[in-house]
Amino acid sequence: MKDRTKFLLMCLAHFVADGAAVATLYKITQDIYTTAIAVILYDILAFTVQPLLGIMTDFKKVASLFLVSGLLLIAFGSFISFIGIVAQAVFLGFGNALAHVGGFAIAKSASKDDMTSLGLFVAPGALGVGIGTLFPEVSVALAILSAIVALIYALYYFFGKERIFVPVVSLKKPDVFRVDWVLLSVVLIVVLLRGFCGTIATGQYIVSGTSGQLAIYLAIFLGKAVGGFLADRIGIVRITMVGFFPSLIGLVFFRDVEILYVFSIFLFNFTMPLTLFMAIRALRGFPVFAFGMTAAILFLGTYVGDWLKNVFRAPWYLILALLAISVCGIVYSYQRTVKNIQREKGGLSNVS
Amino acid sequence: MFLDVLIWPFVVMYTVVFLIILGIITASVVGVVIVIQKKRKQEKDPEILPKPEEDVKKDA
Repeated sequence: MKDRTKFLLMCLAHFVADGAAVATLYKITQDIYTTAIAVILYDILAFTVQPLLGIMTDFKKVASLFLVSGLLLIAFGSFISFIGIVAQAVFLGFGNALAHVGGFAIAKSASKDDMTSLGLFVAPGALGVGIGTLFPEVSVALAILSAIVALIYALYYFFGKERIFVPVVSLKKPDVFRVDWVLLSVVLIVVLLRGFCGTIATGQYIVSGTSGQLAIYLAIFLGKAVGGFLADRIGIVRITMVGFFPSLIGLVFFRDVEILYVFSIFLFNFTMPLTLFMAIRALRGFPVFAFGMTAAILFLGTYVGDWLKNVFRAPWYLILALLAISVCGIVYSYQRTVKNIQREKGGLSNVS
Repeated sequence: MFLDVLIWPFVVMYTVVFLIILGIITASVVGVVIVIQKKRKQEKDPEILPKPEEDVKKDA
């Protein structure tokens, strides 16, 4: 299988994994307590387990095994409604984490070390969540598609040159493992604040039906994809200034105007591939762990934001201040990343 | 206003979940630190590095 085909298949896998899992959860209607427990259990497994699975993926050749088993678990979890929503949530959550980690590792190895690829891989997830949330009736179709993608990939490995389930020798080069904890902390704080602010700064307009909600998911999808593409061409600092910075104005002052809010969401998501790129740079030798860590921290920010949103209406200046800190964090992380690259290569970098 | 809308069972549940999330994230960071230390130890002591030939046999 060509690298490009493999990469596109991983993007599709990301879309169906999120779509099938979320659609199944939204389709089931139970009492509020059971549903709350199921959703929380799903979220914990789907997001926070990713860094732990990421460490394993960075050291053992288990990416394909994770991807295939994750997609099959999601498909299986979608069909076994008779075992109860909580048990289903366990299958869906763990399957989702496996599919994400495995899919990212494969997509990363099949693509260039750039932000365009990162953006293109993470973007379909938002579309999957959107389709799953708004059209839960398609859960069966997405579950079948999930199994088909798993089957295609498994067949490729069984009949291709590469093999799954074979452990690989750990990396041995002395300079391969280098963790910049300061850079990592700053990037993760940015991710945390973005998740938190993105949740508390929700639109204050009357959503124009399903199409209005779909527009938000499309904006997230396009923001991630376009953000990575533009960042590779015009640079991290410029994309932050022309994309992320203007989005703050829309998210803080024009939350009651639908078109401006949706456009701000589009710009706001430009930074997603950038922070992932810098997290990977901060954790040399642990790219999949870095991916899992950003997912877990983003979830933590979203979770806290969601919690506070119910009991506390955040004032505009708090949101603006937190987002301004994010901008400073991105600029600082960029400068530190460039310094690290220059130190490693002993010359000028072309990251910007 | 803040206290009026608090529902304690939910607060307890949210707090427990928050601590679980934080615990798992911390555990994974500790995991990476342990892995790095192990690798550095291996790099300092080349004798405990697994030989490529042995690994090939194991994989086969």
